[in-house]
Amino acid sequence: MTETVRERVDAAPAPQRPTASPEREPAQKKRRKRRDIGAAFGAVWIGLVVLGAITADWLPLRDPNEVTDVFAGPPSGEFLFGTDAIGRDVLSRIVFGARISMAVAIGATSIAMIIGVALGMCAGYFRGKVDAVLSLIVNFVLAFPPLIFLIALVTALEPGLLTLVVALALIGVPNFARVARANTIAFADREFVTAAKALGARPLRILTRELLVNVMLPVMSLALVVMATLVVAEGSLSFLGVGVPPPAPSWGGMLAAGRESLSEHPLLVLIPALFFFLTVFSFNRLGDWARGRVGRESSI
Amino acid sequence: MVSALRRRAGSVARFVLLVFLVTVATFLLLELIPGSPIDALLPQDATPEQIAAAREQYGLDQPIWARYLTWISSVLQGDFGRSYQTGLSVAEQIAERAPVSLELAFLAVFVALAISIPVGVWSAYRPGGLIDRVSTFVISATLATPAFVLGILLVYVFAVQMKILPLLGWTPFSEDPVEHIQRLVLPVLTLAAGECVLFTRLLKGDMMATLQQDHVLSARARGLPTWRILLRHALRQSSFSLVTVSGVVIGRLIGGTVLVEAIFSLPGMGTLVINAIHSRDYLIVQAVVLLTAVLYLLINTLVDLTYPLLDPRVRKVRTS
Amino acid sequence: MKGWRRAVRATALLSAAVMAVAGCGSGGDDGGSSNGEPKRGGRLVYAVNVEMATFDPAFCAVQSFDRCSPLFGTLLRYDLERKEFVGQMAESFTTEDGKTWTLKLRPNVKFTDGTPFNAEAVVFNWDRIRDPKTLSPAAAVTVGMGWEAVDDLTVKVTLEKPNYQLPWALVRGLSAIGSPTAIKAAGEGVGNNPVGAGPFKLKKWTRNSQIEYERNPDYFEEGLPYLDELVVKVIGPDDQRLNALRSGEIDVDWSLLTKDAKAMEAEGYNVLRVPLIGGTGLQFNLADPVMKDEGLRKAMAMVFDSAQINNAVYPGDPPVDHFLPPGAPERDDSLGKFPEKNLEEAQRLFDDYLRRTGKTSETVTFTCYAGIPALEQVAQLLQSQMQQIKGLTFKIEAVDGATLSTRSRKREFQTIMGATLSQEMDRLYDVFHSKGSLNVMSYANPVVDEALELTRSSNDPEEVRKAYAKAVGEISKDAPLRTWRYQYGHLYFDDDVKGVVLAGTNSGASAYWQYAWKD
Repeated sequence: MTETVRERVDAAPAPQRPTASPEREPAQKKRRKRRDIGAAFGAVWIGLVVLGAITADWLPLRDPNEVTDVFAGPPSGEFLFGTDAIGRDVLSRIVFGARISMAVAIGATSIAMIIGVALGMCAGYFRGKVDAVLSLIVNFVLAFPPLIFLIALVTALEPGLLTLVVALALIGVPNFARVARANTIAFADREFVTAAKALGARPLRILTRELLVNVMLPVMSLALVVMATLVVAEGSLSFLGVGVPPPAPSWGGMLAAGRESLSEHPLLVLIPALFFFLTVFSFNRLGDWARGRVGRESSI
Repeated sequence: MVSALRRRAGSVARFVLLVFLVTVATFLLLELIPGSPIDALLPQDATPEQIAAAREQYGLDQPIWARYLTWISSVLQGDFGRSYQTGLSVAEQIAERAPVSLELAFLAVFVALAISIPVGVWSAYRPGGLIDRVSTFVISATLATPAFVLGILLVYVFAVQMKILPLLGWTPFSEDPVEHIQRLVLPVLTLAAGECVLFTRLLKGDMMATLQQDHVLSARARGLPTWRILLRHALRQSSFSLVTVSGVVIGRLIGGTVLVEAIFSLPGMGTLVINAIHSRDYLIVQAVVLLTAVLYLLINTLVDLTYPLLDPRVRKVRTS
Repeated sequence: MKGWRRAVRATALLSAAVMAVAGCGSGGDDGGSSNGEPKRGGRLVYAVNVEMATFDPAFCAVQSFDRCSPLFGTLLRYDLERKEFVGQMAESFTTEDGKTWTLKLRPNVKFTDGTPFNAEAVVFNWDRIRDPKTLSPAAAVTVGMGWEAVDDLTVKVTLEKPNYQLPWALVRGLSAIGSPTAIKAAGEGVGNNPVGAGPFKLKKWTRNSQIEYERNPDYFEEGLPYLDELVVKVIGPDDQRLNALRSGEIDVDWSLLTKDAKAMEAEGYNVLRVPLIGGTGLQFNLADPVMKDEGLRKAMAMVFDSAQINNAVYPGDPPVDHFLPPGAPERDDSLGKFPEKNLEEAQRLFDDYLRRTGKTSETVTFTCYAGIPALEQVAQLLQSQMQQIKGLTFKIEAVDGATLSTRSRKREFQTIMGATLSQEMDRLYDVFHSKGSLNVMSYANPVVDEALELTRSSNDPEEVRKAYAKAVGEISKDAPLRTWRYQYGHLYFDDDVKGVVLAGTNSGASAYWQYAWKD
């Protein structure tokens, strides 16, 4: 199956550490420490973004849709990040825009995770026909050019946050299904499962009690990476004009609009770009850290 | 022997089934889009006679399964139809645009490999060293920068500020080779950046494992120069994954150059499809999706069939 | 050729005045008296912003005039300097009563494939436009029109009602005549294999890049065209086209933006300007159960602020208070203007609306373009303006171009971002007459209907001018289409380009390139 190759593609494993020779240790210890700092930063940043998204309404911010007559103004006392082309406060739009990015990232990932894990575990546990059908579905979704699918789907249904979340969730299901399946297979032979079977436990109980817990660890680390991808996807769709429609502020939309005046007012592009960068970086770092904690073999 | 043959036949059957499913899904998806191909064709002051004539002409009175059958049977005979908007044959339009996307995809992979191989090899050889740490950091940074952001930033730095590269647009190689290459630089870099990350990680992981193996250690003991060990012995063995992954990535990129084409206004298949969706030129969308899916599945199936031949280790570790 | 000549003098006068101010040599069709002797040879590169769909003469005359006319020519031409219709491919188009017209063709004109350009060819092309199967955008013009070839060089046209504005159709939708032999032979490929009798022939079409034309040696106007080659390039972004002009990559640039015109003037380029009628604006659907209320619409028109929109999105453009720009001869402010901005009055009217209908609030949907940043910004500005009225929610529904045009055509909207743009006043009939083919607003004002009918049935220019003034006064007062910007088409070029004979089109400015030459 193409599983083998794809797993190598997706796993892109953290480099296997050979038996360390003494003079190599300090360097590796340093690397481990740096990674921890990176992950810590990531956790803090994501926490801030999510907090901002949740509490946006109560923060002392201007209305993100309020137009003023300060067009494309530079950062000032009144507008900490400046204003956009029609005079709206960039800082406030960034904070409210975080809502869209986080809703899409976390919402779509959660849905994809639930569906994907359910499907993957069933395929991995029951094998046979169930497995064959699942792999067909997975390959089908992967063969369809994703961006075209997204654009067509969003054009078909009305562009909006819900459509976006559903569409991106659908694209994310195969990833979770594959990891869940692989881990279910890996764990299904273990003694505790055999023991449960011998005791007469029904499949559902085995799946939820014994296997789910073990499968969820690598799945969670994947989830963090998928969240990063979806933040980017939302931005790309807004950039192509099929994201969340105006006037809702979104980072991708701000980037697309700022591009028009790139040479005169680069800040309108650089600020949302910076937020994208830090958010995606944080998710990736957290994902790396989680994967490091869980161990390499679980990403097969 | 028989089971291997049966497995290959199964692969082919799966391939055909998947392609069929993809085409059906495309049809259904496009059906969902409000309106129909004639909406973009009819003028604002269309008379009722024109509307009726259009519906008849484009067979929109027929049920969807009849339309699908008509389409699939002409495709199987090699006729992809004519674009509603321009009257040009769909095959012609795709043939015109495909080279742009293909060139981008291949060059991006090539550039990514050109960067990742030296970096990956050296990082595996000296883990924790300067190159390793710098490249890990750059990798994480690049991975964190979405393609469209990276593209715009590159445009800003090189085209707007430094003015050494053109902003956007395309010049065919036949017209002006120099300008053609100039226009390729930024888009290819943008695409390659994402793939570098993948390649470097993969190669580094494999190389580090290989470097521990006996035959490498023995080569070392025999006093062979370092570069020879790295390149001839270790790299060759570690490159299997890289090679197969490159194939997969090319397959993926062929359908995935949409964003970069949009940012840089390149006349590739990506922009062709987006415009076709917006102008309800469905025949083009159906043809491109079909083509992309076929190419992707083909590459994957081929890679899958040949992979065990290349790398004996994998033959044992199969998940199905 | 008397009656309707002065009816459109306004447009021409304004543009002539502006042209004089811009201090450039437009040439005229005698080759540009003040600019020396025309030189034969050379290549001129002209840039526009969107690619053309097809070279089918039944389509391109309406859709892409600037690329169609070099190849097919136009039956008639409107001369902006002399302010009259001039025979171009045809010799003349005359009438006594406005109902029966005679089109006289020139002898010995042939298409580039040898087929004669005669009455039969004209009838063939026009029949094809009228055929619903062709889906031609010019078909609506042919309603109520009949024609027949009387002899080899004469076509008789009969109308149901007198229409002295008919010559505009032979400048626009019915102007492009292609070789019947070639059209029949091309079949489905007719859009890519054009054969005309115009000044240029198609050399090569590289889609989304450029169209290359070369001189038609058999063109009937002696000694024309001067140019060996004409190239029309497609460069989407406005600033990119400007840079291409500055760097010499192109010779002539096309633009609708005032700020570009000002920049080009400051840099010393020649700027030619054609004022256009109408613009883009907020259109109301008077057939919608909510929007049919006059008080509600007036309230919305009273918070509309074109000054704010222009300051943000179109800097340099003045605010709009009437359908026509100041100085237009058909503009008479005493006959009506767009409602003035007045928030208190707007609130009062809206509260009154709520009282009358028993509602406590209202939501109005605005359908607009998605994916075009400038237009999205306008939509959001409009939203913030409308929502100054307490109790009114102005919901933005952004859809893609094809959906927008379909919604407009099917009248499935409450308010929509719509437009009318044309060089000629006659277009107003189609847009604002209650039976007009482009009247998606379902606007029906008997005063306007009567006035517009007079503009077609009368051959007295002063009477026509007054009728237009009355119509646009009412249109401004009622504001079924409330525009935010006066539109001008511009051409920019350097001093080495001469003999530019300006043409107004439905999307800006263009030129009759057979008269142009390079120094």
